Amino acid sequence: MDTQETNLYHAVLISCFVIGIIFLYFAIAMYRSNSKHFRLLRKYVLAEMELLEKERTRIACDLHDELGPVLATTRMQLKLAAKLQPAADHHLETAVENIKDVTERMGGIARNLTPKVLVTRGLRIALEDFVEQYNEGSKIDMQLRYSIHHQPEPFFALHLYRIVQELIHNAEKHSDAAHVLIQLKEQKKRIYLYYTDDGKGIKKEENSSSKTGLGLNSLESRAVVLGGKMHCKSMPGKGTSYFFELPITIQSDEANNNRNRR
Amino acid sequence: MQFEMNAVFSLSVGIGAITGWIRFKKTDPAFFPFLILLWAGFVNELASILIISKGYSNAIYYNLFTLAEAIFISWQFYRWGLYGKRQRLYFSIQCLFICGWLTEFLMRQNLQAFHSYFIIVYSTIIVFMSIHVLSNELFKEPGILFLNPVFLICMGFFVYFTYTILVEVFWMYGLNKSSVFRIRIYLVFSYINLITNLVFAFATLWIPKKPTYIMQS
Repeated sequence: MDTQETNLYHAVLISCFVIGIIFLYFAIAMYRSNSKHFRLLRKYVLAEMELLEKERTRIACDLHDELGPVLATTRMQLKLAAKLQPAADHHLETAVENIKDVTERMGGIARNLTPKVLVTRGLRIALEDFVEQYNEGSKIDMQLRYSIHHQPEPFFALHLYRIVQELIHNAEKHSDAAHVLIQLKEQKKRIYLYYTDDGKGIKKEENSSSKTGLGLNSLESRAVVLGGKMHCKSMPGKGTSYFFELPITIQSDEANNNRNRR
Repeated sequence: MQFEMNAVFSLSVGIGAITGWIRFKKTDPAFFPFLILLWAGFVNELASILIISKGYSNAIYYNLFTLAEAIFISWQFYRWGLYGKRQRLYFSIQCLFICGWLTEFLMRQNLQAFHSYFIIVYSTIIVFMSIHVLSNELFKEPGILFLNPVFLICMGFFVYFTYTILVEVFWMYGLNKSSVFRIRIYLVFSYINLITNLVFAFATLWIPKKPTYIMQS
């Protein structure tokens, strides 16, 4: 090999090395920017969701604390008026019944907005209550199988609760299902949520565009915010199933004891 | 013919330089170093063509231009906030460029020799800086990337200086002794130069306007 040829090989080798280093740096820079971008995005979504929860709590409090007493007083006054005005007795009795219905409905809305039971009695009872309430007024037969041994952190529990809520709302609105099964399982510091129904399923084009798509996006973003992932499997006429894999954040023992004491 | 083509391609930097000059008063000051670089590049190309056509070497001019280029580009990245609050790093890099250039100048003791080592070092640093800014731009707020002047300028730097590194590596190993090889390398280089200059001209058109502070009295 003559000197010129050796030099050429050296130059080619060094050029390849330089290009390699540049590409490596490019890949590292892209990876770092992507992670940074994802962290920021997660932070924004978390802040937005927190704000939403605060707003829900405020509305629920307003409903309960401001409208509740007014409605209760009105009901009492109507009952009194019914005693004093026997002629209008029938109409006043109906008005009392209406006020009772409004109070109950308002309580339901307030509970739906902020599940207080989640804070006071934990995720299991909150979910069981929710499913039970739905079973009473729905044609769908819903089953909940809960096998999470640790108490998740309030924030995590709230999101998990919202996911189940969204899944059940979707089933009620869109699925036409007769049976729904929700399973929650804890394994190796991860929570697996499996949902399945025997409804009409979702078409592929519905998945991305319509209202169902919006619900799916919300479910997916909640899963991502919790650091997990979601899979959805659906075929027209063959039902829908969702699978969530989420890393669990466990509440400290002290917080657990505090809740038990309450 | 080769020389004329190279000259025309090199002078294409003038498109960006003139566009920048026309829009100068309205341009966001954050892009001033880039505009100065374009004007310096245009003057350098004109001077080089003139000197070469008279049969002299443009090495001295070129070497001086490389130092100015390194300083202006680093300044541009500083204005884009690449260094963040680390001002010391910025001044250290500027000092590194000046010291590197002086070291090679003293080592060679020949004004007619091209500063290959310095070109490789500063080109590599600029490529890394461009990659860093490019990756940030890619994940910034949504928008058409090809209308983003920062993205376009960094793409131009990335392509141009990567090729410059390769050319200088070949030069260091004395491969410029083969005239056929040299012509081929320069042919590719002139096309890359043309494309980069057109990208820079396009980027100059999209440089944002100077922000107007209407609340200032």
